[in-house]
Amino acid sequence: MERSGNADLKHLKPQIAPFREEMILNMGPQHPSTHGVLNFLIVTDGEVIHQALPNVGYLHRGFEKLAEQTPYTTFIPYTDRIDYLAAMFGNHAYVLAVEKLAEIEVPGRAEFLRVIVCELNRIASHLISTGALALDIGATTPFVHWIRERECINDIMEAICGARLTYNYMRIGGVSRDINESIADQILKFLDHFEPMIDEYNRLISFNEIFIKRLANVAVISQIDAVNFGLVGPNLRGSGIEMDIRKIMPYSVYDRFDFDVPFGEGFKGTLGDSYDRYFVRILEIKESCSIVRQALSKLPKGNIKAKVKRKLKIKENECYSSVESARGEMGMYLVSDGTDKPYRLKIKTGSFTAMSIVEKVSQRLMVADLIAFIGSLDVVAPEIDR
Amino acid sequence: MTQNIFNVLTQRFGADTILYYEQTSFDPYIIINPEDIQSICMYLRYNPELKLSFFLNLSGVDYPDREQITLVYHIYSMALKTTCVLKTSVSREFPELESIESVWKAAGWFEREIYDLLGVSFINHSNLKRILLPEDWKGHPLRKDYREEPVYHDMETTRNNLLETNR
Repeated sequence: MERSGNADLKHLKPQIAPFREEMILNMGPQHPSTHGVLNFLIVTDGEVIHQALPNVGYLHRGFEKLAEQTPYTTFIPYTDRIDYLAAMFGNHAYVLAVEKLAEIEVPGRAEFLRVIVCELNRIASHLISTGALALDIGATTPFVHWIRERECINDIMEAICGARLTYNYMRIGGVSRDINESIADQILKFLDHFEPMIDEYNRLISFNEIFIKRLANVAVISQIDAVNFGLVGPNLRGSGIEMDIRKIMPYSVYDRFDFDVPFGEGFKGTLGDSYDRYFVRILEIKESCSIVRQALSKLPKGNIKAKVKRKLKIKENECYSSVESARGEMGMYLVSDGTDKPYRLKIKTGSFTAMSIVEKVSQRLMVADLIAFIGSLDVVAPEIDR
Repeated sequence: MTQNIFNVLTQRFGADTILYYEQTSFDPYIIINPEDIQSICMYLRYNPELKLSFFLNLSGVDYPDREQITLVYHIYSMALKTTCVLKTSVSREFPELESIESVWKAAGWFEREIYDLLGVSFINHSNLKRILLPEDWKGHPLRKDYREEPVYHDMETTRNNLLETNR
């Protein structure tokens, strides 16, 4: 199948300088460090990138169209597949939008359970992100360490909802299953084991001199650019802007927890470089651990699901609701028309805007640094294409 | 807060451009004239009192019975901690309006997505071409009357229902 490749090449040709030998390289779609099926057209003289054009769409499954043909309650499993590394956030963003439109009150216990699973999922997603970044730039051991820890979270998730990756845990009006004492113990035991591991991991790789040299001062995103290109989540906070949906538009019960929003300070180099984006995630893992502990200690008793009609019909209205996913703001714009299916669902994701900045920032980077840059952006291909 | 933004905009651009303020919706929105979208966005972004500096989302909704495609802009102000929703409609037959890529770079890719899936053209866009679908794809899937072509590059796009054929 011919994709937009040819047209891109035509577009590039006039920009090739005649006095210098340049070539056009295809990075991806089957490149191990593109984290999924992504393609970059790179104009390079062999080492320095003159231009890198991201070519997305290989994983477009048309969820927005599918949503228009699927009843409200049936669409939840699809939202798992928007971002498979952090499936809970897709669930959460979607059910929040539907609950807001249908004016459904969610029981307190369900809200706390949602926070617990979301924060565990955020830890799991950041483990993959930070581990894979180290793997991409040549350090194999840290990735294996983090995969081991993530396996514990997968076990917990399996105990809670029966699935290890695509959870389908949340329901409109609550969650599908309650947790019992033994699962709560399992989570606490995991946190007791995991929190010291963060420091061990930092000693292993975060403060490793070679690792710092590969990331610090590489692919700096200024505050102005970060806002202009609409970066969200750890990428935006890596540039020193303190914006977190959990704080600025609190949803669920996030206003009842005490946690910090880590942001970049130029830890080992310039503000907004790849190392800042990486280290913000490590700091976020710590905050998430603290939120899970608080939620477990405050977990109220009661129902886990509100009474919702099996065939949910929502009268004509619309709303926008967003959650802070592991990759930043995930927003759902939902329009209803009185039937049992959405009239329109628009899914806004963090990776989509993160990809749009690649073309600007990658200019004059080394080819090897592009890998570090994309790793530090933590893009997940299915989330870009939906 | 949106009421305030509406008042400021009406004062600056007049009632011919800023058409209507809808309060009853969950997120109140302002309906504006599509011809002035770029200058309104520019004003909202750089107004020192509003400072709507962060572009959240751009969505398009197809309304075949009204013969319109509605574009919905969600913009966030970091200073005021408030979201502003702008709505504007273009005709379904000749959907065309000014790009706001010059105001927020982030809007560039969102506009490409709308162009791809709904077929709205954005004037003065730096790189307006399909983003999610292949370049030679026919039609715009998010339009309500879209029908997929039965064959694409010798591949059939429909499948028999296995439950029915094996019966």
